[in-house]
Amino acid sequence: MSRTHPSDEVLQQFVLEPAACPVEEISHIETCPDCQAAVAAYNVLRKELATQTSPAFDFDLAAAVIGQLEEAAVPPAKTPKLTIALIAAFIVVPLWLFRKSAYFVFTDMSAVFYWLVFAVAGIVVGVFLLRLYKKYQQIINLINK
Amino acid sequence: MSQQLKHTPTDRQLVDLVLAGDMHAFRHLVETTQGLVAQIVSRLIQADEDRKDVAQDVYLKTYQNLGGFRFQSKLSTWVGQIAYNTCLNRLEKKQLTIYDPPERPAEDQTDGFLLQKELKGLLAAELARLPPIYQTLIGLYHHEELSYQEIIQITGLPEGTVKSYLFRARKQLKDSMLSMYKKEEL
Repeated sequence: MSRTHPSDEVLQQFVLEPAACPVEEISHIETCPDCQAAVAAYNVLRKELATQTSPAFDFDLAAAVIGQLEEAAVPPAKTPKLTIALIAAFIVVPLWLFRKSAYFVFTDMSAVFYWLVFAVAGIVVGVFLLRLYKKYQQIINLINK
Repeated sequence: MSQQLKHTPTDRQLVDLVLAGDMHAFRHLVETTQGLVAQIVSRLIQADEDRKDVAQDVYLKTYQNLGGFRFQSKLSTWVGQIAYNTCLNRLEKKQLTIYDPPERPAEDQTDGFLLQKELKGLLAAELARLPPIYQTLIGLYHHEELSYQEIIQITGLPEGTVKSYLFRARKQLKDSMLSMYKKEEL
C-alpha cells in the first residue's frame, strides 16, 4: 500500500478506466477508507451525469431546415471531382512538360540562391505556424471566456 | 422511398440517399443527430433565439457539404464537428460572452438527506455554473458516451486539453457535491 493517497486524477481513472489504473494505486484505493469515499463520490457523479436530462430543441428542427432547403431549392453539393482534376492537371502537366529544364534550373544555381529559397521557405512556414498558434490561442480564449 | 426509413441505414447509405435528394433520409439524419447537436449548441450558446439559428445553420451546412464527407469518422461526429465550429464562429462574429454562471443556490439546503431528486437538481445547477466548454465536454463524454477520440475530432482540441478539462470539471462537480451534502450519505 503506498504511503500517500493517489491524486484525484488517479481516482477518476480508477472509476472510469480501471484497466488503465496502475496496480499499486488500485491496491491502495481498495484498502483506504478515504479513497473509497472519494471513489464512491465519483461513482455517484458518473451515474448522475449519465442520467441528467439532455438539452433538446423545443421546435421541429428537421421541418425548419427542410422548409428552408425546399424554399431555396438547394441541391446537396456533390464532390467537386472536376475541380480537383483541373487543379491536379494544372500542377502535373507543366511539371511534366518542363521536367528537363526544371532540373537545370535547380542544378545551375549558386549556393546563395539555395539559401535564399530556404530562408524564404522558412519565413513562410514560420509565419504560417505563428498564425496557426494565434488562432488556437484565440479559440482557447473564446471557449474559456 | 417510403415515408419512414424501413431499417436503420448505415452512414454511407444515408449519405447516398440524401445526395440523391431524399428528404426523408435527411430528416432521419437530423433526428438521429440532433441530440448531439443540442448538447453542443445549448452549452455554448446562451440566447434561445441564437440557439435556434445556429441549430438550423448546422444542418444547412451539413446538407450543403455532405458531398465532401469522406467517411473518415462517424457521420454523427462530423455533424458534431460542424455544430462546434458553427458555435465558435457565431461567438466570434457576435463577440458573445459564453460564460455567465448562474447564482449558487442558498446554503440552507446542506443539512438535508441525499434524495435522488435533490442530487439531480444540485448537479444540474453546479453543471450550469461550469464554463460552457467544460459543460460541453461533460455532456459529450458522460451523456452522449463519446470516446476521447470522437470528442477530439469534434472540438479539434488536443487530447491533453480534453482530458484536463474533463478532469477539472469532474473534480469541481465532486467537490461541490461533497461540500453541500454529508459524505456519509454518498
